[in-house]
Order: sequence, then C-alpha cells, then structure tokens
Amino acid sequence: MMREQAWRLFAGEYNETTCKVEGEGDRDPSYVVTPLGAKVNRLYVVGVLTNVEDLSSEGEMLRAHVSDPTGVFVLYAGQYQPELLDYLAHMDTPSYVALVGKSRTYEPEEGTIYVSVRPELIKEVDASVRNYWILEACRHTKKRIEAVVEADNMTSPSVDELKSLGYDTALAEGIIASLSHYGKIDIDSYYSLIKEALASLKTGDINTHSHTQEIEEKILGLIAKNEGDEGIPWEKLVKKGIEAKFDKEVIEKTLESLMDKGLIYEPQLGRLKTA
Amino acid sequence: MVEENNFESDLDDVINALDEDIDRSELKKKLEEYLSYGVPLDQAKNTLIKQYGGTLIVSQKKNLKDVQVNERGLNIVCRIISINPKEIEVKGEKRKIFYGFLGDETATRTFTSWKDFEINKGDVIQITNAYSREWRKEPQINLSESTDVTQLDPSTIESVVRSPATAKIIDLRGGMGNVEVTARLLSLEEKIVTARGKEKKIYSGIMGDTTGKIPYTSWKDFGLNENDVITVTNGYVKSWRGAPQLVFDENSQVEKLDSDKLPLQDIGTSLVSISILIERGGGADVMVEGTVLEVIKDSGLIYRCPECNRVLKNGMCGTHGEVQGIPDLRIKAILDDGTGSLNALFNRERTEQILGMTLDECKQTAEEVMNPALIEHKIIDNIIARPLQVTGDAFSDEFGLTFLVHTVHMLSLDITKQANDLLKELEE
Repeated sequence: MMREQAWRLFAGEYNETTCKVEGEGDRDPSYVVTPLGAKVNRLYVVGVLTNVEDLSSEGEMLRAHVSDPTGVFVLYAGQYQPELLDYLAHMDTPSYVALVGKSRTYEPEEGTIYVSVRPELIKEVDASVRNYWILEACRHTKKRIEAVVEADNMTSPSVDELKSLGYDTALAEGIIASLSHYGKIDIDSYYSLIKEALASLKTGDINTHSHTQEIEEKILGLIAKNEGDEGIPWEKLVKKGIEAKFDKEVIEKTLESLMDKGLIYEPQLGRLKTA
Repeated sequence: MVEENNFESDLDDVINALDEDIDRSELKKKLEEYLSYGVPLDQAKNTLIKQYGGTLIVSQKKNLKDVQVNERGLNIVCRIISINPKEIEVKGEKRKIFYGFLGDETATRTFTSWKDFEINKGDVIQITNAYSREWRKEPQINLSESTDVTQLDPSTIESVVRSPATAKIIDLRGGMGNVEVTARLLSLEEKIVTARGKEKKIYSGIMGDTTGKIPYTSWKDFGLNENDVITVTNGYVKSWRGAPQLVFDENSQVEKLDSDKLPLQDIGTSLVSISILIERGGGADVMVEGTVLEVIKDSGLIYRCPECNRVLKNGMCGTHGEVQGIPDLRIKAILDDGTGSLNALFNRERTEQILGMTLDECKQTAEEVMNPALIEHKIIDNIIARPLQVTGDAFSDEFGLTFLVHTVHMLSLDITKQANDLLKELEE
C-alpha cells in the first residue's frame, strides 16, 4: 500500500475540521477533511512544543501542545509508542519541534468532532527549520484556497474537473468532500491566516505573536472598560469588538484564547469578566 | 411557422441530446406548445433538453483540439484526411459504416460515420450535430443519422495539423499510443536482442526536451546518432518498472531536425511534485524537493555479502551463510513534499556527502564505540526534517515510488525573500 503523504497545514485550518471520512475496508486508511479540502491521514508540522502533561500516573499517556502562528495542535501519545513517550517526556519546553503524526478524532457526542494528532515522530529542530515550514505551509494553504475558489466557480464541481486544472487526486477529492460537508468556505479568513503566519516570520521571534498579542490586549481592554460588577454580556462585547473594527471570528477566537490563559472568566454563563 | 419537415429533425436533435428515452409524441406536444407561445426554436429545443436532463445543443463551431469525450451537438469545420468503408453487423443486420481521420488547423481526430454522407478524401465539410466518444484515450468524432454534412470550398481549410498527439515528455504516460515527440538524443547505444526467435538490433538511450527526459527504444535503424534532434511520429509509450518509456518502430516516422534546435542547455532536469511522479509511475533524471520524514532501518553502515552483494543480517547472508562482509554506506529514507512521498535510496557517495564522513571514518568511529548503529543515529540527526533537493531516477510498484538519488542538495533555510514575495503576492 502506498504511504500517505504528510500534509502541510496550519493549526488554524486543522482545528476547524469537522469532517471525517472512514476507510471502507479494514485496512483502508481514514481521513479528516479540512475546510480547505486537505484530506489528511498524516501531517507534518514544525512548531513550538509548549507543554507536555502526563494524563496517567504511570506516564503511559501524554498530552502535548505544539503551537504555530495560527493556533495549537493537540497531541496524544500512548503506551504503544514507548520510545516516543520517553523522548517527549524529556523534552524541554518551549522548544522547536518537527512532528510527523496521524490525524485523530474525538467525538464526545453526535455531531461534535475534535481533531488531534497521534505523533509518529518528534525531533527537536532549530528556528530556521520552523521558518521554512511556515513558508511551505503558507504555499500549500494558498494552493488549497485557490482550489476551493476554482471549485466554487464551477457549475458542477467534480474531482475530474479539478484534476484537469492540474490539482492532484488527493486534493481534488478533498475539495469535493469539503464542499459537500462545509458548504460555503470563508476564504478571506484563510487568507488572513497566511498573512498572519508570514508576518510572524518577519518578527522572527517565536514567543511574541505580536499581532495576536495586540488584539488580545485590545479585547482585554474592552472587557475591563465595560465589565462593571457582573461582567459584560458576551454579545455586547462582540458588538463592541466589531465597532472597534475586529472580525467576529477573530473576537471569538481571542476570547477563547484569553479564557484558556485564565485572563478572563465567566462569572455567570454568557458574561465575561477580567480575572 | 416552422415547416413540418424541419420540425421532425429538430425533435431528433432533442432526442439525441437527452440521456434517457422520452416519448417522441410527448416531446412534440411540448415543443409545439413553446412554439405557439412564440418561443424561438433554438430556445425551445434547449428548454426541453434542460427539462428532461440532457446536454445542451452547442451551436458554435468548435476547434477539434477543444472537443472533449462525450460531447453532443458538435459543430465542426474540417478536412477529410482519409475515409474507408467498413461492413459491420449491428443486431444481426449488416451495415456499411465509414471511418478515417479528419482534421482542422488545431488537431487531427479519428471519426466514424454511421451513414453514407458521400464524402471523399480531401473534402472540406461542415459537420453539424455530431457527437464524440472515447477511442484509445482520445475523443473520436461520430456522425450519425441526425448529423448534417455540407460541402464547403476546399480553401476554407488551408492546412491541417498532421500530428495526432504532440506531447511533451513530462506528459507522456505508459499506455499512450500514436504520440509525436520532439527531443534531443542525450545518449544512444546499440543492443542485440532476441525477439520472436530472431536476433534484432535495437537502439536505446535517454532523450530529452525542455520538460524532462525519458528512456527510449527504437526497433528500427533510423540512422540515429547521439545528439540528434528528432521528431518521432506514431511512437508509443510503455511502462518499464512503472516508469514511462518511449518506443518507436517500423510503423513510426523519425524526422531529423536542425541540430541547433532544442539546445542542450535547455534540456533541464525539471522540478516535479511527488504526486505527479506517482501518477507518471516514475521518470528518468527527475528533480524533487521534499523533507525527509523517516529514516528506514538498515540505513547507515552496512555489510554486504561478497558473493551476492546482499546486506548481511547479524553477519549472515540469507543465501551464503556466515561470510566476511564488505562494508558499505547507504540511506533509505522517506522523502515527502506534502503532495506525496517516496522511498529515496542514497548510495555510498551520497551518504558520505550527507554525513560529511567517508566510509573509513564511519567504520573507525563505529568500531571505537563498538556500535554500528551510531552512524544511523548520525544520519537521523543530519537529515530528518531537513528539506532536500534530489535528482535521480524513479520507479514504482504497488508499494510506491523508489527514487535512486544521483545528486543531493540541502535547500537553503533562509526564506526571508520568498516569504516577502509571497506576502506581496497576497496583498495584490
């Protein structure tokens, strides 16, 4: 059987995935299909290993996070990979890592899918390898965006028609699966994703995603200004954010990130307050 | 009003364009209804076709090179290059059909006519409402009972494209027939082979154009010399170990061109994506860029059997038992460019280059620490996650592509310029 290629894609695209394609036979691989039509069984990421946590007392299940300029990949490594577990457990954080892994999904309930990565190989690398990967991921993401646009312009998009434009089979199949699952794709948000990633290259430093940080500071400021005693209602904050010229999606992502960092919390459901 | 006569042939058009059989009287009723409301005939016909699910009648003239497989309502102006009658049996009935080649300024195609339109070789004709099918992976023009043929002045088409399918080397795939290729012979050797009990001299080597290189075999003596620039007409493409190979023989024509055509420096080793290489099944002297994602076991310092050259396992050869192994270096690695992956094989010289160590140095180092696996670890350190550019020959089987690396080159990781260029491109 042919080895599956390792897709280059950002966490910002991967984590939006809600489409799963199961292999038909026992030995057929399964895939997840991202909104931009990457039909992923294997992926290759170079990012920053930010933390490694032990999910069991014996260290036979580890969870780790690898961050890229657009988001965070969640990794689960299990007991069947003793060498990798050992290596991962002893890695310094933060550090640059190259990661080859398989796509995994978790469905807590019908209709909800979370994607993660089961690592096959992790290796510490330097910043230049990371930068090279960012450029590569940008190029591949751009190609997928263009393929989505092409398919959108077709009266009846098909794998064959996409292939006749020069897209390879895997991508053509992914794009068609994506269209039927996700419907209309917000192209612009993915263009901003690429720009953000490229911008991060210019600053060169890993720990300051200056752009993201700036937005977070501004949103945090908005909450602090309007929270009162009981916190500001979610919708009201989003409205204020939009008035301040932020994208709705950017605001929501920023809120999630602030929440993750413990900088804001919900005193009651639907209200936000600074910690 | 529309004459009764034309009306019937219009119904034929509609019926031919539909995917399913629809009752003729039903269609007639509908068509009459539209016409009685003053809908123009063409619109009425296309409306019916849309309603019952068919392919719309194309009324514009098409160039032959734009005709795809399974098109209907084709309108073509062409010259009959050849036409031959043929008796066939359809459902127990003998029928006379015609076949041959027709062409225009853009392409030449085969055709079949299911009716005698009284056309002859050299005629320039306008064909209305023909359809196309696939024949030997090419569109074939079909003239049916409902096709109209009108004779035109022969000067309408001055010259016809002769070549059936002009191809660039990168586009050649195993199984293609009747191809025309222009290339420079980069190498040439004579071989004697035995074919059907007879000894025969064949000529083979590598030929190249601006898109790539391909091995070739000529079964006829065309008086070829190394460095000739030739156009091969009516060649065909075979697969050898999965990779395409051009073959020509007594059915082919070879024309020698001016030797300053296709200068050697334009014949490059072009960069291809691994997905294209997989689709082609391989290729001669191709270039790919990718990242090494895995180093496969038995890479590094290995020992080979002096008898059969096979790699020893624990000092033992599978065939010759315990032997004094000959040391060697090699790397087997997975190279992946995000579109596909391949098994890259690096020989001793390339491995020495990657390690920055000679075989002797590797042996010494491994002996000092008494661990031959040390070299493998060193290789892993040096090339995993490392973007490489490699050139070499690629072959394929059911397990995927194998790539014999001729040259290897570490790609520069300084991507500031490319990143800025991409950003500029996005901002436009």
